[in-house]
Amino acid sequence: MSVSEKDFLQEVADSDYEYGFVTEIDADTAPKGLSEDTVRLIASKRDEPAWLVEWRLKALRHWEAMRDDEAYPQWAHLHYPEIDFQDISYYSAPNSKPKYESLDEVDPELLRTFDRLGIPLQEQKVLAGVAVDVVMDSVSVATTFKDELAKHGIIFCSFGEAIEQHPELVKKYIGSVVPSTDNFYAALNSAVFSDGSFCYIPPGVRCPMELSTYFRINQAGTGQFERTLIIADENSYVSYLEGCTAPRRDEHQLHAAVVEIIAMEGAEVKYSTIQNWYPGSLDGRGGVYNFVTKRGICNGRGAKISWTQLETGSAITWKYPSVILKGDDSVGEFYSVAFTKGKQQADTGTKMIHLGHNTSSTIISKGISAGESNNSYRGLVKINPKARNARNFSQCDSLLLGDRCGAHTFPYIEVQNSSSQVEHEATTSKVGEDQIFYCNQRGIGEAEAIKLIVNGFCKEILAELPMEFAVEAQKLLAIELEGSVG
Amino acid sequence: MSMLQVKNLHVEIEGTAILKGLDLTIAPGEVHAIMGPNGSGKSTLASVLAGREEYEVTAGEVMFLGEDLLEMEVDERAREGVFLAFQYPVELPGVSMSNFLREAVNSVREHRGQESLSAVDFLRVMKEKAALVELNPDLKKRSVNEGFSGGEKKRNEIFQLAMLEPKLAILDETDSGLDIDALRIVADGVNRMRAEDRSFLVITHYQRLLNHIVPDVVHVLLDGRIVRTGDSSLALRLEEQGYDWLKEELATPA
Amino acid sequence: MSQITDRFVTAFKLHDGTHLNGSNERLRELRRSAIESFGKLGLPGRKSEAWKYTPISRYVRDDFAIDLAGRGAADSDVVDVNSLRIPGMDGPLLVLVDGVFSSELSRTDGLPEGVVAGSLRSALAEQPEIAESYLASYNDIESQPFEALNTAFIQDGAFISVADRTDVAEPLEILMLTSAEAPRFLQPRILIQAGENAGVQVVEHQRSLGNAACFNNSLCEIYAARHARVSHIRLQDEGPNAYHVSTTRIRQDGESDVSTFTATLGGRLIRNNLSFLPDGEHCTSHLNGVFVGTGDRHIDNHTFVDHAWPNCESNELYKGILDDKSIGVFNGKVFVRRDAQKTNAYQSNNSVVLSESAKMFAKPELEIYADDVKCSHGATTGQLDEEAVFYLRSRGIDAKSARTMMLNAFAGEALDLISVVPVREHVEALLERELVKL
Repeated sequence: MSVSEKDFLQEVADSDYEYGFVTEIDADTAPKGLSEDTVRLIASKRDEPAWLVEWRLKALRHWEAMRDDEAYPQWAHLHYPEIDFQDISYYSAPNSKPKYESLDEVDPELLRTFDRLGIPLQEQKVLAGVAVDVVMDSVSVATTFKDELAKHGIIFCSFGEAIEQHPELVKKYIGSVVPSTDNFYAALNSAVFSDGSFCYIPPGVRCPMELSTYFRINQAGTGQFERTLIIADENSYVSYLEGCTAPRRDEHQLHAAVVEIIAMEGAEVKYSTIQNWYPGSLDGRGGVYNFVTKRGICNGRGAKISWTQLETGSAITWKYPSVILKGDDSVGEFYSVAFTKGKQQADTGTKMIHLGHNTSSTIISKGISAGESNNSYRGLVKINPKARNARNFSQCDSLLLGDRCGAHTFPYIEVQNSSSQVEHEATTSKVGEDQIFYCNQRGIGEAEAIKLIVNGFCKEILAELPMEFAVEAQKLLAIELEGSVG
Repeated sequence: MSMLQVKNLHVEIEGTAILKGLDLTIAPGEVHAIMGPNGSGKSTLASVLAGREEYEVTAGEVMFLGEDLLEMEVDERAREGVFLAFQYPVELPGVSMSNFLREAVNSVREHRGQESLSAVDFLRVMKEKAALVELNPDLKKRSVNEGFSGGEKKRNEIFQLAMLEPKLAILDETDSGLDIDALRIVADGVNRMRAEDRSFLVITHYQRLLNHIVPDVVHVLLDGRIVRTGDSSLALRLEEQGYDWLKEELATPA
Repeated sequence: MSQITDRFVTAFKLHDGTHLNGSNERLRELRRSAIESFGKLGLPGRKSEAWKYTPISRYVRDDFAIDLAGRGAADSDVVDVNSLRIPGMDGPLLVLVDGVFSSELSRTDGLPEGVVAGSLRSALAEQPEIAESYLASYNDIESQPFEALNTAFIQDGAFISVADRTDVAEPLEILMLTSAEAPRFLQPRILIQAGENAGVQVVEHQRSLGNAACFNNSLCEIYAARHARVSHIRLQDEGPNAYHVSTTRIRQDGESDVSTFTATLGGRLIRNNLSFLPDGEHCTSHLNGVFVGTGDRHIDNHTFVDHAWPNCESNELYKGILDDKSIGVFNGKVFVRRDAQKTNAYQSNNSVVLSESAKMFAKPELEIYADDVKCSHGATTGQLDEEAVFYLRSRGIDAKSARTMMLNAFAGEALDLISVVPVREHVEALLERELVKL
């Protein structure tokens, strides 16, 4: 490796986190620790119905039992100290006022935060036509375009509002894809989730704009446990975007979200994520622990769910956006770029569970490791005995930048009938010296060459992102790669 | 006795009718051409005669040398002497040409009550027949059709025809994707196989193959039926004028 | 401690120093640490990731007699060894009957000078330095319960040693026979050592004589010195009541070339653990195999290549055919450590599932900590190409022959890698035997 390449890789590995500021605003934060009282406190903050309080408590009891059995997931290729769940505050709302009627009521400091994040709350974003819900710490603080969407019968609001105004929908679907007992972190979320986004697209409606949620952890010592529920009724379509950032803090912050998607017959949901939580300092201090359960179900013939993610943040990423292909002819897709540097650790991938006939799934995963990071793809493709003529194609490519990082691939392939075809391919390599030489020979510098090549490596995934996000994603990846170079 | 007699053949695939009452009689030694626009049912006819299972015969009959062809399994038909030159020959990775052909040739020979060819004889015959279509005799070690060029694949079909010496050979768009030289080689191979007790059914979209393999009878297939039968001049007229004049004539009540 | 674990530990205590000979101090220590480790580990449970698709505890029945050397071995006279050998193999032969080396049945005359081939028990007694330098020197008795168990109970087996610069032209066949007429738990062991620049081919041929349900926990260790060339072929052709965990541990010195081929065409439950440690630069390792599942056979191949040194290469190809209610498992792991720059590692697993009730579970893994590497894996599971079968049939080939041809062609890519011709031909014949129902 040439000197300048090494320098560049060093700079890549060292590049700074741009979103690490803290916003000084008043917050209503619950005392640390988790018990039945904590759950009741969270529920009482928004006058939740009794059934939901019960649902939460059931999840809490399940979680407590798992905690006592030390049944937290240990199979992932991740190393981190044990989390002290009693040392976390499970509720923090910016400001004591729980809801806003319009943006004018929002704390100006909060709005400045969003400006710095480049979040599309303001005028220029109106032109871009993106409806946004913002979740700060645990509470949804602003949702735009609500009226415009209501004309189409689309419900897009905070989870809290949905519980108040559409309890029948929430009651019917909450936990229907990710049961409260699904896993350790899903149980934790189910017990203490405080807000999040809710979206319902009526039959036959094609959502006229991108829906977007921005998540921000702000308060120190808090965990964020938001919940997203998206229901796409028959033959509807929605494209949903999610962005995440957090301030730079020395201690670790816990994020344990749940996303559930229900796509009915003929419906299509495209869910895109740019995950840029604070990754911690280069020597591994601080950073978000991101334990997320995301799952969608294709609940009718011809339904389609597509996950696209660009993962650049978090100290620890544990995340497997999945699709249950229940309806015949349904389609699941997973497109992912995961970039790790410093001491980041990512264990991410997907599960495609084929139940219906003629179901098909595609998995394309690109992992890029730099610094001393570890980046793992973990995926399951399961073809049930009754999933006749199911198809899957998976491709997992890893790129190593530097010789102190790791790239790993752990695919599980389970085929239980004789009419299905599953293909999996994986490669691991570094940026080719011949590729760099070729660029050099054409007058392109070392650093630019690596950027070009990495961008090319990710191109087919970034192309899956909606336009508004693709630009942001490219910028983000460039910043991550570039560090202070150029 | 006719080589092939098709009566009132109706065929569906997944509930869609493709052939809607097709009649066709071929005598021994004759070369018949079937022409028709895309979607008229040409390849369906070839597939049904060869024995593809996804096609459902809903009415009609097909007699081959007096026997009910539709009652036979695909390999039985082949052993009885029906050969299909595929429009898209299938690649068989790992299956060598020599193993493949020895198995095929000996299956057919056994059925005819002939003795199996010895390894030496087999290689001699293989070499001889390969020369007919100018295929490199080294091909015996190659996997069937794997890594063959488009032209080689089509020549390989005719080579197999020569090896198996069928009674009825169906050429399904054998000319598609061939340049003029390859076309000539393929046609020469076919012409050398013409014999009094062997009939050919040449299915093609274009007339140019018929310049080289001159048919005794030309049929026009439109919308699942044979709508016109003539001699080779019919093919020329179709080449010059397309199918529209025929459609118009058919639309006009006689 | 579970009941079954306890039985093994108790049996060990009972025979320690008697049947489990303790004359060699190193061996005695080895045994004791192995049984201690096994006592802690127990048999792999349901939550053990390495046994996820093979619930092995279910198959270790508590009526298996824990057998020790010298008891119950079949009468040598009644075994017609020639009829059990691979046709066409008439070179040197080592016969193990229920884990015990039979000098009457074996035939080791004519081996070149510098080659020792015979009983492991005798070798350990006569050349204690073997135990010092090789025995269990690349084992994982700390975390692998079956390795620990076999090591605790080392009694006999086969031993092959090839001196430096010695080439053994003829392949050696080790016939590993299970004769039992009553349920037993057997633990044969094989140790193969090839010196510098030595060359040897060993065919380990596993067969059953009796019909009783028997469990073999066999272990084969192979040590290849610099520039050595070792080929190990395992042909598993046991009866329908055979349960077998076969562990193979291979350590290679620099510039050596070791290849393994594992052909599984018999048995009820077969688990193969294969680990390679290329322990020097410029090693080449080959891991190839075929497996054919019919009836309710369960076949699990676990492979592991530990690339710790730069400039090594590993190639892996496994082909599986699964019919009836059989289950196939493939778990291949390629591990590339930080210093192992310029590693080339290729792994491929292709399976064909022929029946609605058959299942295939594949887990190809890459764990990579060095950047200047070329590593890839591919796994496919599918079925026979029906269009290809149609093509064959349209040329007059009957359906069964067409399918057999296609399956032979499918397996052929792997079978071509069997270096010993009679073995290859025999595997092809067994393949036809197994696929007779098609």
